[in-house]
Amino acid sequence: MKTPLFVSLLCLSYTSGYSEEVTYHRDIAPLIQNHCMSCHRPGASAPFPLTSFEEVSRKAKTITRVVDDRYMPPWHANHELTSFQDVRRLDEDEVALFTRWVDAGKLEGNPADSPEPPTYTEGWQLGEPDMVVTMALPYDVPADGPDIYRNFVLPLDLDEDKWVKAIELRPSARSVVHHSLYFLDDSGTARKLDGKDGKPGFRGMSFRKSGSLGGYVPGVSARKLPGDLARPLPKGSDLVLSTHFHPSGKREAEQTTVGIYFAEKAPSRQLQEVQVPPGFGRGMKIDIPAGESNYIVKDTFEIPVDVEAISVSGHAHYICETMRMTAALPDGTEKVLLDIPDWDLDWQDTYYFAEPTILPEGTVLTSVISYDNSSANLDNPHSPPQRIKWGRESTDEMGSITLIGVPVEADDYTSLNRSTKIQRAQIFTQLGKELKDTQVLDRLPVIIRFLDKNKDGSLQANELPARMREALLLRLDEDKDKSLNPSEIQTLKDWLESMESEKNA
Amino acid sequence: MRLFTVILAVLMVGQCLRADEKENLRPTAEVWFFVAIDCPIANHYVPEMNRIAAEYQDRGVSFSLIYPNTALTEEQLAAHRTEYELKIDGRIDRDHSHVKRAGVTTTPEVAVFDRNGILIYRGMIDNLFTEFGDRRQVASKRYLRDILKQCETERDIPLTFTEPVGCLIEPIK
Repeated sequence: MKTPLFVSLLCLSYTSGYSEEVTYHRDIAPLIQNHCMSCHRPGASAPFPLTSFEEVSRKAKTITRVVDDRYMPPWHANHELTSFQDVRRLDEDEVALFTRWVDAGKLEGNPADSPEPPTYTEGWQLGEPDMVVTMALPYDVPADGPDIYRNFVLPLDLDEDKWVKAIELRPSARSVVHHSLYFLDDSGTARKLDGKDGKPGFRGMSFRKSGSLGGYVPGVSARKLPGDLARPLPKGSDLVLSTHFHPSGKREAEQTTVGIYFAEKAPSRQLQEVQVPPGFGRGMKIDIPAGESNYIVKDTFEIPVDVEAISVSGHAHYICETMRMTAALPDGTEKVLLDIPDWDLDWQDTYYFAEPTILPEGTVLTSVISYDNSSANLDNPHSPPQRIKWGRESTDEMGSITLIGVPVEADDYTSLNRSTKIQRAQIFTQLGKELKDTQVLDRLPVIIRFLDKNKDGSLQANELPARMREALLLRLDEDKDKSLNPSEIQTLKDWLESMESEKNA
Repeated sequence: MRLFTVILAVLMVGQCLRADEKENLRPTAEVWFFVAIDCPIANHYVPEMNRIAAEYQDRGVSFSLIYPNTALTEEQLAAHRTEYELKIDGRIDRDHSHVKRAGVTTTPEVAVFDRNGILIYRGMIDNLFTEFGDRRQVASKRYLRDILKQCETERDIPLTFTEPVGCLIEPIK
């Protein structure tokens, strides 16, 4: 009778796996290969390689500490509430397995147990790009000092509109380039700012972004948008790289090269960015008193048509603590689209939904962003804390969550796009207040007829009131022809109606 | 007898002077920076370590870089020194005797010994880093500089510690 009991105990122990020795080649190598090696290999962005037993063993205590603290692998979104693609985070069992391996003396095991090491493509990860542009001059990054945020203009000189499937960024000094966001500028403002202080690029965000093409964070591989989706790249646009540098202890010179992959034709459905709150929180009157430990920014947006959500990302600066976007569906259910319980400015990732996420017409998106401006927040850039308001410098604050999606029905794009424009236009609260106070809506048709001197049905720049001209064109002139055509005037009417109904509610 | 007394007195005074001179020549403090060539936090401190050494080495403080990674080669060390423009002499702690004597666990971590070789400080250079991957824009406490200033005016400084932030030192088998 004893033997079967002994055998069954052995079997139990074997199947649970707990009493087995943990070895590098069988248990740890797969974790390292799947979660660490894409960056921790020669020529990649991480400071040391983790490609062999010896290399991992020499860093074992440090690895245990950083995976236990969740600093590595870098992944800040809550993936239990929302299912995302390419989750880099280790689960609890994997962290525990690594700790057991270290505690048991870092056994190597049998090399034959190790999985085949992954192969990495040299050069461009997505193949030869359709267009390659490089910063005209290198930018010198000092050996130490505070982080640097700098914008670099890369003229594209395109004479026709293009659609972008992917962008791949190749920094020349990977150890100092922490991340880079890709913006478009069709106004030439960024070009004028570039180099004004005698160095390549310019500080701050004082140019009007006419579009976005995503961004680069170490550890995230360049990817092509799914299906026939592509981002618009209008002719005449400049690419503006908004790059965050971490000084590394030695002087570096960064001269980034960018590879752009075009789609062959326009997508069947256009991507739309929905930012809540819009304008990176510009209209939220962010004004955080020194010492305030739980300042909340909250905003909502109602989706006017059925939308398929593709990705979500957040933006804020140093003292942001948490951010969360939820979707209240018309059937009463609620989905968490993004939950970042511990915001880190250094890791501004874009998270792609793993499953098709349909948000029906009438879904209300709610963003809640919290800030800690007390001295207890070690990320506070001011010591002692100072009042922090909305602004473009990294020591100011911003706050928004951006959902990228496509209308389920291609024809619904105009309606979706117009809603987001109305939402953005509401940032101009002073302008809105003036228009509300004069009850302009009732008189709008008369006002437009009065302003339309040449009676062509559009309002040219010289026909617009001087004090509102810039703001109106900035927000409503979609085709950038320095006039408001009937469709753009309709957007203005929609906006005023929405404000009127808000006033009456 | 008088002559003998005079000679003895002269010898004793000479001896005293030499002891005084020796005291003056002895470093007021000895600083060991425990570092690694591939630890990003240790590398981040290279300019600050160079600055502190430049400021204090003419004021009787000696500085050394100690590398606890026993797999490191002299060639790698030399290449790193050139790449990062290091101005402080370094050595590989092959038997971890320096690690043990200072009781350090981390790179970067600093150990300061007084003129009698007694450990008086161990821990962070300053509080720039709050945890792995998190750092202030500017350090608000400069522990090493403070202790070196203290060494210039005080003796019998009591031992103090701070909790280092960085890459953990792997023990040798």
